[in-house]
Amino acid sequence: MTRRFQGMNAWILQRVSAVYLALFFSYVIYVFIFIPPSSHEEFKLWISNPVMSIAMLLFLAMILGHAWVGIRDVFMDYIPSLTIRAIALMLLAISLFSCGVWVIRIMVVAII
Amino acid sequence: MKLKIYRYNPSQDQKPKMQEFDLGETAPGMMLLEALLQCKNSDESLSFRRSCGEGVCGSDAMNINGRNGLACITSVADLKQPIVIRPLPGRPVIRDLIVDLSGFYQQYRTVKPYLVYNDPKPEVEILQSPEDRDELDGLYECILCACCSTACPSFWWNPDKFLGPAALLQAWRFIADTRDQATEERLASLDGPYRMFRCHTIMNCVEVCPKGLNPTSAIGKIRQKMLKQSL
Repeated sequence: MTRRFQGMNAWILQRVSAVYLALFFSYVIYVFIFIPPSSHEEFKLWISNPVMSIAMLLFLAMILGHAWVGIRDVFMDYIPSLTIRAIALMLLAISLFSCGVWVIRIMVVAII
Repeated sequence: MKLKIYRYNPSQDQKPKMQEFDLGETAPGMMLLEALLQCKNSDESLSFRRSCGEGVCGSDAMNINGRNGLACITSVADLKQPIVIRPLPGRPVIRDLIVDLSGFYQQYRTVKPYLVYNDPKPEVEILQSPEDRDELDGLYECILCACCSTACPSFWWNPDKFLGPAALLQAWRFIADTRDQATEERLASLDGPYRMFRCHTIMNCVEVCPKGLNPTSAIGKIRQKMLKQSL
């Protein structure tokens, strides 16, 4: 019988997202060094390519997830008071969510 | 030889202080425990635990020049002077170098450090193949000196919720044992954000273990096993 280990989810998310972020960052750095888009139009074209858009959205989800697990770990270690920790985690969730919405808005504006 | 030793008697002293001892010339091959015993001769109120004097019992674990270790197997010739000796970090001090390890032992107990065998007990020994027995090497040698757990920042912050490297090494020792029949329950009990997953692979435990054991690797193997079970 297989079972899910709940505490493991965050750990797996952290590792999987780390691998994806490493690959995605390498690709983007490669593109900007060796085949940089020559104009804003070309950049918009590159970003609005369906594969790139999906990869970018996935990157957004991964980096937000990675940041959530990492900063949550720091809060769990260093903030012993449950009330202060809950407030800090709430602020973190709000700021990460806002970042996500902001990036999606930028992407939508860039593609349209 | 000069030593600076942490002195604190919570029932009398307002705050801890460092007491200096000067023992003159060191004898060749002298271990730190012998030096401490000489210090105790000059000031009988100095308190520390010791028993076997040869790195087997794990009683005289302490913080030596900032690094946890056993005084009885630490050669004074290798230490920078003055030798600064403090109790194991992160635990309540009972007196001088003696700390309260009851929380550490409590975490050890929660991993059920014994074989769980549910089938009717056989008439003869439960045999293992030599390969299966080899799996336990590097795990069973732990002497519970607490050097590793008290060097672990995750254990400092959450000593009541995080099991600590010593207990987790023992958890893996019984999960890895082919004779044990409670693997599922053991893995389930290690789940959750605190009990094992507070380990951030800092590896202070590996750095200080006087027996050269590797709790970080054991924790990694528990995680692998959990991952396999959950797929």
